[in-house]
Amino acid sequence: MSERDVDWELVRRVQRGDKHAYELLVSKYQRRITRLLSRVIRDPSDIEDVAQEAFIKAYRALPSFRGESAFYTWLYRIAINTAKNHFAAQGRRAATRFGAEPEDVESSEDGAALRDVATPDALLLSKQVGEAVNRAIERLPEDLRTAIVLRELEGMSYDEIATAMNCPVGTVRSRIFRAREAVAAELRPLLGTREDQRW
Amino acid sequence: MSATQGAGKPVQADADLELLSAWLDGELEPGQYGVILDRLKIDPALRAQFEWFNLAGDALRSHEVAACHRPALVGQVCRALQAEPVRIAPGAGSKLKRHLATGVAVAAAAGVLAVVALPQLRGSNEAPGNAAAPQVVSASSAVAPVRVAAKARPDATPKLDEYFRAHRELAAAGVMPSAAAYIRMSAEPDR
Repeated sequence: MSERDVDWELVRRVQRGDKHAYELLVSKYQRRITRLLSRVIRDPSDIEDVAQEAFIKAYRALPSFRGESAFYTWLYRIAINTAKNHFAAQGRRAATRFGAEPEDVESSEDGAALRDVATPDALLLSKQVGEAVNRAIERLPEDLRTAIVLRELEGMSYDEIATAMNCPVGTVRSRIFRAREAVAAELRPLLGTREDQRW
Repeated sequence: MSATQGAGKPVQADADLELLSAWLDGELEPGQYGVILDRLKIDPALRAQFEWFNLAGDALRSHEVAACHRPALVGQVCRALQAEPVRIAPGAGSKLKRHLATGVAVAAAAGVLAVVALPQLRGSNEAPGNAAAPQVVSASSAVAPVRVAAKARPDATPKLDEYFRAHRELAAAGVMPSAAAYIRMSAEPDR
């Protein structure tokens, strides 16, 4: 099983009528979709409106999604079309040209493209998030740091990490969990809100 | 290490959170997927942790993506979803439901065939109540009901021969919509 299989399982649940499963997909992908839209839409309230519209359009179209592509790739295209419709409705063109694939947008992680339209607040928050993540990683014991980096940045499976670190898979699972907890704890003061505000 | 921060909320066991973390990576056995998903549906604290683990992953991969965290957006989408009708994909029902639906459809088709066609094939001198045996046979073989009915009556009458002749002619011509008329003609030549 892979992360893509997890998404597919959620999609199949939605296709059987489970709206809660779709909320999990929204929660998982709202940041990536918001970031994508923030590259072309200046007004933050417009970004949220278009993102919401894209998620609802995707929900309506989900019965026809057959899993030929990854769920995020499919969602990305819906978000792009929704943004294009947003500009068309306003009689304007997008500020930045969209790539055809998510990788076209997400491969440039240095922020150069984002700076075109990002507000000073967004840039500051991005910088603070970077510092918080670096603090969390530096404080981690080396075995936890290695495990989370191999998983999140290298995309290795638990089996592959266990082989690389010469330890049981169960140990890898525990290390990754504890590393995630540590990173999340560092981010909470920065990005946290009351838990019940969201759900 | 405890993940739940809110006061008055149940403390999540580390074992649960470790399962959640592994599930996010697609590293659980498929049998355990349903358990986690069902828990996420009813446990707000576990769900909040789902959000934090995803956020941590996003932040590790891209500071910019994590900085686009909009907690209110999820709430807005969830509220908008309440107004949406439930969307069910064709054929997405459970296997049991699909099997039941198929069985009911086959039984219904066989029933219609037995009630409408077979009495007419037998001729007008046979009471409808006597058609029980062929009905059972055709119900188990709905895909080729005429052939099965013929097997059930080795002493086929000239009327039935006539029916088969007409059927063969029609089948070759591919004129299924008028087949019922020929059945009736074959079964009741005097009318």
